[in-house]
Amino acid sequence: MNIWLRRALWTLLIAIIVHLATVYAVPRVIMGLAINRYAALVKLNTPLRPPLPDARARRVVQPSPDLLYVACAYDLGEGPLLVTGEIPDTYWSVSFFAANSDNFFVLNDRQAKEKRVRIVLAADGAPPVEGAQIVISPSWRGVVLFRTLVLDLADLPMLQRFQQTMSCETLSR
Amino acid sequence: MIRRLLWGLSILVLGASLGLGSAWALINAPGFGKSAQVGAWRIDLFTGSTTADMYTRARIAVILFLALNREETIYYVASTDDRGWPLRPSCVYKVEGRVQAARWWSITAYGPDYFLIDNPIRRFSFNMRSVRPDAAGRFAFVTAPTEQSGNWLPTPTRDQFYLTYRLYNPAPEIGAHPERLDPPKITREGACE
Repeated sequence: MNIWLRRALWTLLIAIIVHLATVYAVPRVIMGLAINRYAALVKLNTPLRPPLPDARARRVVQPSPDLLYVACAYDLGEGPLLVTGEIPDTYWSVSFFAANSDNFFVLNDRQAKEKRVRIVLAADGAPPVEGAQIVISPSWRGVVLFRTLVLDLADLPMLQRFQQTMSCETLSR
Repeated sequence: MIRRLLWGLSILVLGASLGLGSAWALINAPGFGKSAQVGAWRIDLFTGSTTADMYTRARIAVILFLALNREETIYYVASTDDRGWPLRPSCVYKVEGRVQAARWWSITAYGPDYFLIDNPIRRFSFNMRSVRPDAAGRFAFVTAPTEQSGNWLPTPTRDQFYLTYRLYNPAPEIGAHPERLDPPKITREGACE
């Protein structure tokens, strides 16, 4: 085979491998960096309750300025995660994101059977917890995100009290 | 021997550069992966989905990290006006649409880094509460870097910007076919500064 053709084929092969590896890795690397950043701020498996986003909110791209967030970066290696919170009378949701950034579970205020939520997130089965729904995570690490809609700034103090109830903690094995 | 080694190294560097560059270009290329253009707005049809293709997953991680799946929320992102011209900071745009069958909607302006734009009136979006529709169910506001009368959404004084249209808990027919939406129109008003 012509040496130039061989060099071109090797270049192409390396380009294809690096291309596919990069596209595959990007969401996983971004999620990994986000989890590490949360861990540096509040530790894993504990809630982070930022204020209503404004131009200073620069942790996650495209924050909604109308939503009050609570985030928990989790690592199920320490045990299943108990996710709890009281649900206000406005749009509310809790969503789970896997290590590859997929949104594998979401529950909103209209789907919740009660005005409070109790979910156990586990990687490989979980101990029964009274009154708790069990969700299986496809990965050991990921992010839980609560969203609460603030329709009127006058409601903010009341919704911040709800925000304080939204939490996550590791269940002891 | 050294010559072969140098050739090998050159091929490795060139191949890796081509691979990285093409990956980044396709991740950021609107229209690559399962997406649709709806007026000026682009939607990635499998945002947040566990069945997303790897290009969609990578792009969403870069521009809409932690976005919900489309049964919960639909995200339309505009980087151009209705004529296909990039949204420019020196221009005034009118955004005009009709209220859609969703529980809640908002249109938010983001800077080139996809973060909220600092502005003196601390307005980052319009939503179903902050802009009143007329009797026909239509709403309108303008985006501009300098103060405007009426409904004004501030945009940056330099660099490109984006608008993101969110529909929370959309009606099932919108969730099933988000590409068929009659989206808000984005039209340039007058000459740019």
